Amino acid sequence: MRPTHDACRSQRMLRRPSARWRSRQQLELVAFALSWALAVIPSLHAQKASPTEYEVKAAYLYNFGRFVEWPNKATAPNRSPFTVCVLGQDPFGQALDAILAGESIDGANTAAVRISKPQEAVNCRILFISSSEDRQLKQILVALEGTSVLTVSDLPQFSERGGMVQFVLEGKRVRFEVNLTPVEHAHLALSSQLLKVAASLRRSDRLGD
Amino acid sequence: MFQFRDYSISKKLTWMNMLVSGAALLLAGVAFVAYGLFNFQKTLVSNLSIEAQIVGSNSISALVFNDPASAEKTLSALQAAPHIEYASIYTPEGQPFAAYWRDSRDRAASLPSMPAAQTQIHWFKDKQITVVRPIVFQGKAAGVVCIRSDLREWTERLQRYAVIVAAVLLISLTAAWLTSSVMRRAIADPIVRLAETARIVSRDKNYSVRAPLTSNRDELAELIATFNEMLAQIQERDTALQFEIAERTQAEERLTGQAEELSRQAEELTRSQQALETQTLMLQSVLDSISEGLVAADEAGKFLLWNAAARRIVGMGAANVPPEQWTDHYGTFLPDTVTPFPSEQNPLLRAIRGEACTAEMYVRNPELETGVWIEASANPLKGKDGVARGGVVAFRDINQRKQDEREIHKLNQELEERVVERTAQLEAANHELEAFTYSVSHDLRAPLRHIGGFSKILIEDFGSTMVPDARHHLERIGDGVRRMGQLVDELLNLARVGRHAIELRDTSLNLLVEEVVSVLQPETEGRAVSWKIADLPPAECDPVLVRQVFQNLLANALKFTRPRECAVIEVGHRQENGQMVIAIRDNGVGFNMKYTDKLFGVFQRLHRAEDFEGTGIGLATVKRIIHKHGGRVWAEAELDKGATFFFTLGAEPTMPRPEEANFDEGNPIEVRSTEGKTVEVEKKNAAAGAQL
Repeated sequence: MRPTHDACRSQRMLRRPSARWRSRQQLELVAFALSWALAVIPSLHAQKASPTEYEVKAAYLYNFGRFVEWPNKATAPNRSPFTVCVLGQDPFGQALDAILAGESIDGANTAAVRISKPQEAVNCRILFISSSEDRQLKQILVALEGTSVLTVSDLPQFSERGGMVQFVLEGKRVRFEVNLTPVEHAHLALSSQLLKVAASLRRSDRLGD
Repeated sequence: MFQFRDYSISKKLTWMNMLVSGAALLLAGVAFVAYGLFNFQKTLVSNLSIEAQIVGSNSISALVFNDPASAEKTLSALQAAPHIEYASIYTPEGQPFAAYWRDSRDRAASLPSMPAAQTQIHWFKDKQITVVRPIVFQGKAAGVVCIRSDLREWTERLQRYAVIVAAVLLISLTAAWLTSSVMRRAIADPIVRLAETARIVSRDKNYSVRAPLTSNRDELAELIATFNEMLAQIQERDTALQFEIAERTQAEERLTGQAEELSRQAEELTRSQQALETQTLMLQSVLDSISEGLVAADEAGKFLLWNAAARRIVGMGAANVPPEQWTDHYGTFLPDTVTPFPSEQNPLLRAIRGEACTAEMYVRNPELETGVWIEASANPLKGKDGVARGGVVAFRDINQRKQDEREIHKLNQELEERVVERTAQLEAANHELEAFTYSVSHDLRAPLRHIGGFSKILIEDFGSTMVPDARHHLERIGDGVRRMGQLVDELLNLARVGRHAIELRDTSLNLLVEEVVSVLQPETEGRAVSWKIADLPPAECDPVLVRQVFQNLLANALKFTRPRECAVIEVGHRQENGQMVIAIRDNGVGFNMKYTDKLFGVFQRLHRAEDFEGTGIGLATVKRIIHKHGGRVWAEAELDKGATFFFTLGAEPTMPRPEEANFDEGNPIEVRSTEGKTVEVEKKNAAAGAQL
């Protein structure tokens, strides 16, 4: 058995009895085609109407979770679920829930949680701060001091203002900037792969500036 | 085509060396190259796969965060690997995401569409190897990387290998050729020389050539030495063989002759076997047809033969009974008919032991109506070597003979009794007769003397006064009385001889004869008588009686020669069968031999009384005297030719009888004359000799 992704494997397990009579080559081709089709269909469906900005951002939120390592004290007590919290006015609608539904990161199921107070964000892994919270940003970041929560926002100058990851738009493409100083304060380890594709990296511990 | 088989050995050796080493090297080379290339190909795939993995891993974030530029930057690092022609990354959806081309001129070509690969696959095509590998990140497909390399390195390696193999092959073959040329000198050359020698030997039949020896000490040298030795032996044997062939031919001829002889003998054998079978059948029927019983047994007492007559006589056939039970089984008894016949005396068993014997037996058993007497005669059956192999007994039913014998025995007894009785009667009668004769003769003499005396007185006293006729009658009476008296005397004499007990003593016969001759002298008055008396041996006899014999015989001779002018009377003797025979011969009137049996009877006379006087008692007396001595008397005569009387004294030896003995011809009989002269009388012939 050659390695393949889960969807493919489950499909192949289902299809196996009927395909058994075929040669190995044929078997592989058929399996590949089916799994390919199944894996692609959802995204094709999403792509049909070219993903919206927040749909992309929702996916990015999920993917950040895969390139970041949290310290043990953050993960151990509350291993599950892996919560992606949205503070303030939710711009994603159903998109975030759709992305996170049925997924898991490091063995923990992902879930989207809407909160209204920064205190509620203590158990979050990733906290998206809605642009509606522009004015309370400083208080929010202070409230999160000492926790290991990856803060993400599309607020302008978010990274400069003490946030960790800030979405930026290069034309229609969604990119992000990283401020390494708060990341390191929060004892989070960002993968070099992640940093490699970041639009820009900075170090500024100006908080609430 | 090469005919490898027809190559010379040296060429074969060279070729063999080259082929073997070439083939070995070629195989080794091919294996080496194949293994190397296979390994190299695996390495190639593995390397390419690692490169694909590195590229893919480094492109994950680019894929996830949709940053093709980052991905292309990663791909461009492949420039360091000149063999990689092309590499590309696709999104999980199959859209080309980033690509790399070694030659920038190919960049114009559109990106190849995503090959269908979910796991790593690779394939060779157009001197290229392509590896497709999915990019997986945390268990989720992040994309697909495709990387293609040319096979330049592989081809280069193949070429290098080919060159190496070819070089090694070339060097090895050269070395092989060199070593084989050296080996050829050591191996092939001696063989070639040996073959040459063998060819000469085989072509010319010349066994005197020898293969040249080599300096080596290997099997070839040994072979050559052995070959030479063999040649020497062959040379030796060749001459012997020629001789032997001649001998064999002769022997074969002999053998053929013998085989023919053998087949002829076989035919004869068959014929004789058939004859034997016929004979056996004949013998069987002969054995069954003879009336005698025949039984044969081998040395163990097992019956071999039991013919039909044997079965009939004994009432049984051959039984499987041990010899010691034969007596009980067949019911054999001794001639007393009650004692069982002892086994050890059984004739058949005695014959088996090697004795020939005969025996009488009585057989009585339940199979027979009556007991049977048999006479058995047994003989051993002997093999060629003379050893007894068994015995045979022949027997016959002698019941009839037994009965006859009993009757004969009875008759004989009766007869003997009768003979004794008759003899006694006869003897008594004889005695009576003799007594009667004597008494008659004696009693007759007295009246006769009276008649004679008184008639004599009549003549003397009254003769002168009587008429002449009466005187003549009286004289006739006197003659008759005298004759009668003589007769009576002789009869008395005869009777006396019968009663006389003889007294034997040694007596000179010549003396007796001389006495008789002198007594007879008066009879010869006026006659010419020649006495020829031989020397007679003394004899044991009664002289009184024998004197009477001589007197009677000589008186007879004198009487019957009376008509002769010159009478010749001879007395002689001869030896016959060890017994003395006295002969008295005369040349008188003789008699007819027809009446010779009457000659010695009482009162028998062959001549008329008118011619020759006599009483007919003299020869009877002679016979009685001779018989009293146990001797014989007989006569031979011929009418008018004289007669000869023979007698013997004493019992003659039992065999052979005198008549059967031959007179020794030419043996003169000595005859002595009265004058004492010895006259030899030559016998003219056998008849004359017999007449002596």
